[in-house]
Amino acid sequence: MTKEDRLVIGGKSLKSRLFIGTGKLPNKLLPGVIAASGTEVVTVALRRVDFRSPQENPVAYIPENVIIMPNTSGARNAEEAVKIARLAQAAGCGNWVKIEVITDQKYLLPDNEETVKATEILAKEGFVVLPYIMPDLIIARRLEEVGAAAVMPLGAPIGSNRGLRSREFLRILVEEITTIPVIVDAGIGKPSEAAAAMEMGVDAVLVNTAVATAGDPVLMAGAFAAAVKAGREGYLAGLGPSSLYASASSPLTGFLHEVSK
Amino acid sequence: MEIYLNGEREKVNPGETVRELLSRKGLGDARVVLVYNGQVLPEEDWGEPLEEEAAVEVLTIVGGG
Repeated sequence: MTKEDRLVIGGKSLKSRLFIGTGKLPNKLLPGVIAASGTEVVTVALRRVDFRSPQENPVAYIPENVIIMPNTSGARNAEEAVKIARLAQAAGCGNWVKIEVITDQKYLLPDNEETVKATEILAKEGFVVLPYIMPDLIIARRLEEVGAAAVMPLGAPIGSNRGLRSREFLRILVEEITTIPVIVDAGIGKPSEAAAAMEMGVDAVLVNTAVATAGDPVLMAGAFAAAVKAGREGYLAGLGPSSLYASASSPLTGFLHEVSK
Repeated sequence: MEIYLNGEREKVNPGETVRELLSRKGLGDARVVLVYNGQVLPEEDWGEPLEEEAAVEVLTIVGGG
């Protein structure tokens, strides 16, 4: 593997291909999770302060060299997503943003059309826009055209830990979307699934629930880091061909019973 | 007098400033974004008195995926 295997997004050169979502994680676990994962990009959300039980801002727990990418969760259309992105920037979050436009409350599936509209507006304003999408080639191509910095198709519904249910469509995106990174966001529940995604050639994965709901989130963050690295190196190494039938690994001549005859 | 604070009615003292309101609500030094009648209010303007019926949104960063 070359030393220069880097993921470049929005002009930033990243060593780690594991993005971590901070939802459902107590702030005090954040430094340990971030260190164990080796991540350089974490997601956060923007919410109204709850005056009855104010939550501590997680930003203080995130090292300065880690990119903080707010999501637009809560947005039901492009206009709301744009508004949330601008407010998050006013809150000191820099110019990266994960577009998340959701109207379906049961499966939390993204609205691809509104996502394209929001991406176009924010990319023009200079944001580094990473839209969360259904793994749809036509939408991914439009996002490429309107200036998305990456596309983030789902593996399975958010928080479901159900793995790479959309595998066939992810494969198509990996093959066809070549000018911007493809990052699997949502659904990855196990390190082995992160490794499988990376082996397919996706550029990175975003994991939140699988780490946050693990028995030991810090240990799990390290497990995901190892899995992402293994999967990436497997991809770069070039997977060998598969076959329905056996293909002997050992030589088929010089067996011992031939000698004893 | 009253304002709307994060969508709910809130009694404020006449002449009370944005900064005083935040402090009274226990957010004296919290990192928040303030939206006043639909516009982000920069911190240098937090010394301005609140107006009757103003819509004040106080937002913060939280954990999210």
